Amino acid sequence: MEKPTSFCTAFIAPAFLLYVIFIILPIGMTLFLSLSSWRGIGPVELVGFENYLEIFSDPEFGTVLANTGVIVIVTLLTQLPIAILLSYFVFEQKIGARIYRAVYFLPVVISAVAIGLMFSIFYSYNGPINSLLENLNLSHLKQNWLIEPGVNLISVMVPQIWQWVGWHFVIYLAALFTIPSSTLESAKMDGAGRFQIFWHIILPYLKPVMLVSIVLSISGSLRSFEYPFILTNGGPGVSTTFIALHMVKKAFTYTKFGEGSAIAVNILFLALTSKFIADFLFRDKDERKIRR
Amino acid sequence: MKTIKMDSESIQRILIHTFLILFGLSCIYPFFWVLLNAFKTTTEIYTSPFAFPSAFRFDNFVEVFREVELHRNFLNSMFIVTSSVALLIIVTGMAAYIIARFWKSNLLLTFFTLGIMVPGQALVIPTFIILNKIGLVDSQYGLILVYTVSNISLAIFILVPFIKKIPFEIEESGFMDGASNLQIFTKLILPLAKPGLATIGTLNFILIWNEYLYAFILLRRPAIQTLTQAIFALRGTFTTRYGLLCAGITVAIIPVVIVYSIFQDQIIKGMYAGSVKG
Repeated sequence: MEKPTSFCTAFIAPAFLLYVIFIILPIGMTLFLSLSSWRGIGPVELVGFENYLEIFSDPEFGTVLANTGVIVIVTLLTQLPIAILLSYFVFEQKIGARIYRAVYFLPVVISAVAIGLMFSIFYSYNGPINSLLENLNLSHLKQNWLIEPGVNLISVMVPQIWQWVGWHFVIYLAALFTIPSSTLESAKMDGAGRFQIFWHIILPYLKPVMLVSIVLSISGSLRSFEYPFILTNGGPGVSTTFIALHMVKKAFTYTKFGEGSAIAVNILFLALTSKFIADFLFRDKDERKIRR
Repeated sequence: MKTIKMDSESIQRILIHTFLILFGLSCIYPFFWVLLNAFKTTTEIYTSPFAFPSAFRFDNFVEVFREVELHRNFLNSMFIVTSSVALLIIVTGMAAYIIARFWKSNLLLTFFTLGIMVPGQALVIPTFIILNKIGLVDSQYGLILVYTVSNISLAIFILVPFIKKIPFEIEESGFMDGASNLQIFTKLILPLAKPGLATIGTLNFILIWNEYLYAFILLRRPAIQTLTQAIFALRGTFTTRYGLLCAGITVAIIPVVIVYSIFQDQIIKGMYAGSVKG
């Protein structure tokens, strides 16, 4: 069959143009602007690495990076184990998997803004969490969930971690259903218990999927914007600000497009390195598995 | 020995079921709480937050619709989401067809799928500047363009292998009958690629429907804003009037919950396909 070049060009052009204008060009612009002191108007002046020196010497940015590190790690350590356990137990049930899946996935399809607004009611001083504590005679635990230092960071993280468990659950559950049933049956015949099976068969089997899930979880944390924005607006100070919110504020509240872009470069860098590190840590084991 | 083993097994079972059910409740109860409290006055929420409403009053809903024109923002979101999803499907369907059948170079595919690794949020500043240059800030068309592009890489990544799997003989017989390339694409390829397109469609419908950051940056006039922006605005309007907030959240959530309960399988499948983004 001949290759009609003009047809091909016409068909690929819209996607190509959109992709170049709104993905490739912005990546270049971000790198370029991060080296400028541009404030939204007038000519762009290059200032070298000044923005990077500025943000890295700014104690606020240190706090923001620390908060971002905390949300990345806490999310990995809670969301994934919960999702893995849920998926294994549901998988084991044999029946009801569809119902559990439908229920656990519900928060995923609801907008973070609506859920954030909902939690702002839950967390309010006269809200249901505090009145529940009062009813349980735990009044001493009542507090300003969004103001108390330390507590507020956790309060902001909880809805985000909770909302996305269902997504990870679905990813793991789908993987579990591909385990050959003979493997599990023979393990049971050999007298392996629930947790032995989990440890020696399920977890190794889930490893490649864990890579996907870890990368998703990290990039989700790096993108965390709605919850801090709606619950605390990142405050008091920057105590509940994560890197994405910090970038948006620098750029659009203070119109420091240069500094904002330097922070965006940091986000890109963190997203790409975490992906490569996860790939690297998980890769050789996967390959061995395929060869086997 | 046997009985002890039985007992520990049944304890394990109870614990497992408790865990599964508790997490399930945590996924439903908060929304249920909001729904119930949407019928209460704010005082009633303060005094008896966990009780059933004393009466099913619709005052909160009436006031929400009077204060905030949620229905208008709902229609805005509908327009923006359907336009961007339709555009995304057409544009990536065409490109994927070319990459799968004509220009099969890996370089081209790699080029298009590079964007998968780039978190969209990181590009919000240059996107704003570009749209500002072409006069599409504070315009729904600007936002539609952004949403169309936001998942272009993922869509091509999913579609190319999908179209490759379509048997080539079908197209060949089309050519024999004298059909043009365009006719083959619209009459043969698109219908056969429907499951792939549907997956991309549902995934992006949910993601774009819930998107907030780009809408917040790009749309300023309340009349053209999306539903997520209107929900966000409730916070300012009703600050501590929880009954009204609950009614607002309920109105915002109900359409999604209805759509979800009907197309649950398709939606989960679509979102699952999105996990290759990892």
